[in-house]
Amino acid sequence: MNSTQLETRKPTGNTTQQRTWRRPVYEVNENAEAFNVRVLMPGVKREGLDISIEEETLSIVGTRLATLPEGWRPLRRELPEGDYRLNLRLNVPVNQDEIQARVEHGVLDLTMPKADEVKPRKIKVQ
Amino acid sequence: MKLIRYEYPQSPTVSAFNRLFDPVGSTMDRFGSIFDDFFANAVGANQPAADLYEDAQNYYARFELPGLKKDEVDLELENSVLTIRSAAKQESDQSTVHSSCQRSISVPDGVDLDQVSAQLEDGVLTVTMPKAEARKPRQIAVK
Repeated sequence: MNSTQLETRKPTGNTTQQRTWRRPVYEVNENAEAFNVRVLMPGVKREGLDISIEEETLSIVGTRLATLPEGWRPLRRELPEGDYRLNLRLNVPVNQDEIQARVEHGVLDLTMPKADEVKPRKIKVQ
Repeated sequence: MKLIRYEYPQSPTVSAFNRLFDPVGSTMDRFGSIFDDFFANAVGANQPAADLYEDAQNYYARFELPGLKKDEVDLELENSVLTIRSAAKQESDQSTVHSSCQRSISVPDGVDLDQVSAQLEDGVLTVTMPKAEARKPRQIAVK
C-alpha cells in the first residue's frame, strides 16, 4: 500500500455494516416419503427467503424485511436481532427437484421428498 | 414504564451452565448465544420475549409468535396489564403438539387504553398503545 495515500476504498466484504445472524429454531420430521423441516422465522416473508442446496448442504437464509419503523425508540429489547441463517447437512439423498417450500405466519415448511433409492420398498410376493 | 420480569426459558441447570461463561465477557451475551438458542427449544419457550418501543405518538410492544394465526392469539387488557395468551395446536404426520404461551406486561402510564390495537403479521405481533394527548411532546412557542 502506498503510505502517502489514504486508503479510501471501502474494505471488501461487509465489515462496515456487519450482518448479525441468529440460528432459527427448527425441527425435522420424517415419514416414508419425505423429510419435513419446520423452521421458525418470525418476521420473514416469502420474498425474504433464500433456500439453496449445494451438494449435501441445505442452506436457508431468512431476511426480515420489516426493519424498525422510523422514529421508534427502543425502551427495552429482549428479542434477538439479526436475520436467520441455518445450514443443515443432508445425510440422506433427497429428490432435489421436488423440494417444496411454504412460508406462513413466520414459519417455513420444507418438504424434501426422499430419493427413490432410500424409500422403503414394498416387494410383492409372487 | 415497568415490565413484568421475563423468565428466561431455561432450566436452572442450563442457567448455571451459562453463568460459567459469564466472566468471558460480553461476547457471550444472553441473546443470540448458541447455548440459549439451543436450550430454549428443548425447555419450551412458553413465555415469549418482548420488545418495547416508543415514538412521539405511541408505545409499541412486539412479540414473536411464529406459527400462530390471528384467532389463536388472545389479548386482554385489564387494570393496565396487557396479557397475551395463546393456545395452538400443531398437527404433523405423527403427532399433535399443543403449545401455549402467556406473557403479561404492564401498560405505561398515560396510554389511551381504549385505543390500544394489535396486528399480527408473519408471526410478529405488534401492539400499538397510543399516548394520551397530555403525554405527547408539545412545542411551546416563546412569546
